[in-house]
Amino acid sequence: MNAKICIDSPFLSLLNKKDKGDNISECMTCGICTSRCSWYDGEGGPDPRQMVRMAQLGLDSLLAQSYMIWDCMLCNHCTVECPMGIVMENVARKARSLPDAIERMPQDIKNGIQTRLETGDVNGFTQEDFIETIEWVNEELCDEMDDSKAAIPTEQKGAKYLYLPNPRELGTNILHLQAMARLFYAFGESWTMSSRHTDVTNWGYFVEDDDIEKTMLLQVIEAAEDIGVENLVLSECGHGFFALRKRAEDLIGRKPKFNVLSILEVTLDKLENGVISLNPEAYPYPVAYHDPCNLGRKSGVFEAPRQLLAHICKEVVELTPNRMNAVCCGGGGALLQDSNSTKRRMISGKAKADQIKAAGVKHLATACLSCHRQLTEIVKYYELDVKVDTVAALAAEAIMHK
Amino acid sequence: MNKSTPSVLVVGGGIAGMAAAKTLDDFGVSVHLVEKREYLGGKAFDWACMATGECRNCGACLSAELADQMNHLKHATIHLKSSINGIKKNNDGFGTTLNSESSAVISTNAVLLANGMTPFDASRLPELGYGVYDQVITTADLNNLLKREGLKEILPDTTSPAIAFIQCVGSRNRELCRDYCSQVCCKTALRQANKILHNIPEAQITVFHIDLQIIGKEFRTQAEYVKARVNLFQGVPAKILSDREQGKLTVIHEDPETGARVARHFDLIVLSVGIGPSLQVIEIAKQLDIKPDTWGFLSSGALLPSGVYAAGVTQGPTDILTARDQGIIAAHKIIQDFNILSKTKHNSTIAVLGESKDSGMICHALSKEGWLVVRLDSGNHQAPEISGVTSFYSVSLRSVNGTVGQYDLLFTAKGYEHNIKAASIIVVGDAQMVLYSGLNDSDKIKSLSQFVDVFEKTPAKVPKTVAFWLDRQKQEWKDHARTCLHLATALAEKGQTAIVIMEKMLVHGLKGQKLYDDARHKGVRFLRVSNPAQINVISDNGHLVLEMNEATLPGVRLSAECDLLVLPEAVNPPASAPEISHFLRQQCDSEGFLQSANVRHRFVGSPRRGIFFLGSCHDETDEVDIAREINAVKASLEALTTSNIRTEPLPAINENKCARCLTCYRICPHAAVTIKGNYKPVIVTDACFGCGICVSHCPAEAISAVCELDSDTSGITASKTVIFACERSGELALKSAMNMEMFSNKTARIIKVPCAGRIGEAMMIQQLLNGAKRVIIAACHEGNCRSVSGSRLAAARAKLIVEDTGLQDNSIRHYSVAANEPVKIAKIVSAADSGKEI
Repeated sequence: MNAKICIDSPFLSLLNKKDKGDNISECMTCGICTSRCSWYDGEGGPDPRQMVRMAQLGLDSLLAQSYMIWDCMLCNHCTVECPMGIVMENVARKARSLPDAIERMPQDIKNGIQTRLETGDVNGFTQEDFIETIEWVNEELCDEMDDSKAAIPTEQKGAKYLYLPNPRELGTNILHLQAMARLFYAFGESWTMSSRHTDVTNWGYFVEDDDIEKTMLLQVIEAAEDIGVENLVLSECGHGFFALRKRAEDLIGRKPKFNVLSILEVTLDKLENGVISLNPEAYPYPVAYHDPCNLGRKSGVFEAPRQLLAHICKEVVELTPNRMNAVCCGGGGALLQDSNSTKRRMISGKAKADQIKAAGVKHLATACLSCHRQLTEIVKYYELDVKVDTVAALAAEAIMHK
Repeated sequence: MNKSTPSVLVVGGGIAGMAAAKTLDDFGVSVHLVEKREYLGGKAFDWACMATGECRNCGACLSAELADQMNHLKHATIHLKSSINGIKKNNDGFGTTLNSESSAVISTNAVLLANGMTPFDASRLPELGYGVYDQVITTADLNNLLKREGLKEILPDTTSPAIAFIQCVGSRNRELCRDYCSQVCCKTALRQANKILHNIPEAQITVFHIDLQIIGKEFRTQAEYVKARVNLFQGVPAKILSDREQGKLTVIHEDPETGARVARHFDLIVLSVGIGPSLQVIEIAKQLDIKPDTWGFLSSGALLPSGVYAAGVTQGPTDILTARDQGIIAAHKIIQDFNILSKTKHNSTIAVLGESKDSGMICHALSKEGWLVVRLDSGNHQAPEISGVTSFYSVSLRSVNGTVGQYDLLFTAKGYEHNIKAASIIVVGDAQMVLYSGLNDSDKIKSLSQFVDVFEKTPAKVPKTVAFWLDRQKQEWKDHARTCLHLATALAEKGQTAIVIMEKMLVHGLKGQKLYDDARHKGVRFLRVSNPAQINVISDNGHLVLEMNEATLPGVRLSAECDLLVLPEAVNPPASAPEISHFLRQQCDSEGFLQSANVRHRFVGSPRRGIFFLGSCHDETDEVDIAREINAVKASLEALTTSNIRTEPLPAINENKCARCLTCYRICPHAAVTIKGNYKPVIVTDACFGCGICVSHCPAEAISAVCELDSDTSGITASKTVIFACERSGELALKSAMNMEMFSNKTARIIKVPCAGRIGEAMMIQQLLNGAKRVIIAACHEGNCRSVSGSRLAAARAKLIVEDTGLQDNSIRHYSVAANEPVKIAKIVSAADSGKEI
């Protein structure tokens, strides 16, 4: 392969802000990142240093045509110890926005983005679908709780909390939505859902298109401001949380007129303030916790899920390594969202499966529905006898009604 | 306090502190040496000998020797197991209290901080598994294993264990606030790798590195030999995985051929941990109101108040030899600052020999201190006059006779013959810079010095894109790397394009890494090439196109365009090196530069007293090195003129017995024998090192050494084993072994000799006749003997006796043992006792 170095390539000018993390020109080729990528088994997988070097030397088309930028899980595990503070997701995501790369964007991602931009929901979930689904859920909830107030309120202007679900909660994982509704019911404060708020995800983030990401953010933010809520409560979603909590302000150029909270933070707060109580015997055995990269390493939320878990299970078991050095589940960076990547996801998840196996637990919790799906699949693929749940779902199960 | 006899507090009994204490003591300065451990020697004292058949020039054994010398200081108080409790500056100097003693305040005029170093705590990088996996160790741990000869304890039972070294753990890392190169780790790791290979010849050793820092002739002369025996990979793994099933450690790295990420398995992984300042420095600095630099060093950037001095790692990462020199230099600075030396003119002449851009600097420095300087410049380019310096140009040397204090130089200058007397000779001279001419001569290719000229004089003529190609020819010199970094950064700052092609970047000195970081930050592009032969330079349409296989992008044939290609010159020994080494009777090193790499005489000295080397004629030297070397030469000159230093008993020639064969003249490694009229050899006391090689070699037995040795060897030997032990190596190792209770002097009789070369055939055989079963000669490793050939001569003699007499092989035997090899000597003795071979 031939390539010519280019000192002022378009891509470099995207990256040459030299802000912390964007400073790829400072790479000294120490190779630390290459040794740390957790995709270290089997075929394929990104080589972080090669990506940085291609970017640094202005080999835009080589980089853009490389499979590596789409295989990269954007987890930043590789650059945690970069001596220069380079952040890999900035390189890989920005590379995905190069013209040559856009051509190679997985079809599923392209479709999802288009649908979300057109309909406000990545699956094209309509208002009618929403109403129908919520009605069905409400019946279940009211039956279960034997209380008509257990129903999910919708379109309640001025509610204290607006819950923004993961689209899967309105489809394949409706049980999770029910669990969240039980949590809100237990909180006993005004809350609502909205037909304009069915999707916490933001695939614009995956493809580093600031315009798309911003549009998607505004779809959520402006609609929430219309309803006039105090707090936007996000479902357990790693990148959704990262985009809304950490990136939104920069991208839309202002602060949203509400607080952005994770369902975990709200639940922990209610628990600590005695609003709810959780059964300490709910899981009388050790439960391991997987740090979602977007929630943990990128957003700094390490302790809240662990504290919640600690209330309800015998012991929180750590996977090694964890927190800042946690290993990606293998579904990051839009691999999970691309149906053509299913096989590769099993390879990229091998490191995680090894960790889970080494931890020797029967129950694994995480705080991201994408991780949850990937973990469920790798556990099955690697024939581990481990049940996977989200922390909030476990908490909902453990509510003790007064 | 009496101004004429000042006192100095030296904090730290490591190599720098000891060297300083020794120097101060020699000049009658009273010293309080404070050491926190229960023995002197510092980190270097713990270091294992790296010799493998020959000395690898690490200098660690010198610490044991210095520690021994501390017992004989006349004006020093040594405080062991002590550290500084409080230190205060007052009108007279400093008042210090120690934690170990009662409230007694130690008052001194000056404080020398030589607190030593702290290795990086590898557990700060949890992904390396240090402290988690037993088979992940640091270079310091490996050293301990090597020192007690216990490496095999942690290796599996195989003849070819796989061992990896990972470099730059805690060095060159801005995120850890350690963005400096620790300077010593590459050399340490390669020496250790070589040592392991010596013990386990089939070991598979891999060194993961960023840029191998091979700087200084101590190791550069041996680097190719060691490099060829290990696998080198660019890129340092930062994550170690444990494969429970295989019981091996795994790291992932990029295969340089395929570019694929591959797993490699190892039985042992050694982390080359970087070095930082001692934590105590920070505390002391606070009390003295000194602000250390961002890394905690008292580097030149940290302004030291009057009366406070720093040496060794306290002022920046340094190796053992540099730390020693810094200690000596700091001591001299104290001596000067406190006017301990008389201000009278030295009245001695110093000859500065050779053509060098640095000779003016040394001439000036010496004449400023009252020396009479004669500059013998082989060039004809007249330099500016320096007051107090007599200069000759177009000098051609004819002969050098005499000894220290009275060298006799015969030379011609501009066709006229001259003769001068000089107390000392300082050889200066520049390495030859040779431009490689393998590329088509083109106005688009310039040498580095040509480019510097253009850059400085006509910057407008510097084209838009300039490429620098480092290590194009042979090893890169640190000065070239630095110059290129400066130039490339300057071009990038001006909006021009600078590309640097290199195999590795030398980041010498405390600021080297920052300079490199700055260059990349400003947009200089660095391309790595592992095989320079694969680079094509093509002229294309007014540009040059460089095509190469970039090392970090395997499978990509990369091309870069430039308007000008700059090639640093190859650095060769000065053309005059063979001639000068001949006239001065001094060896060159294996690369042909002046001065051997023997650590006993590095950096500036030689086995011949009063002969010094300075600048690039003997090693790569930058401005910092030159300044240090000049100070070291000045210190050595002062030491030479301080009369009360010589204590050792010296040999003398009995005129009546002398057969005038001149064997002594020829064999003396220190050129201390001169010939007075009618072939009468005379041993010049000032020049003599007292090694006794002449004594043992005189066929007429005309030379007697006034030392206890001779009387010692007579009489019946009670012990079955007799050990002739060199006082600089074997004897120190034996002492150490006795302290460690590995050896008792009841099991063997030790005869201390000033040098193994002192031991004649008769002495060896006499021991057997006296009833000894075995004679062991414990002497320096090849290349480490202060008298150059002493140990080698003894080894040859022992072999010859055994061969000629048909005695058992092990009845007389020579072993190379360094001062820091107590375990080795103990094993040798106990094996000899039990009749086994070792």
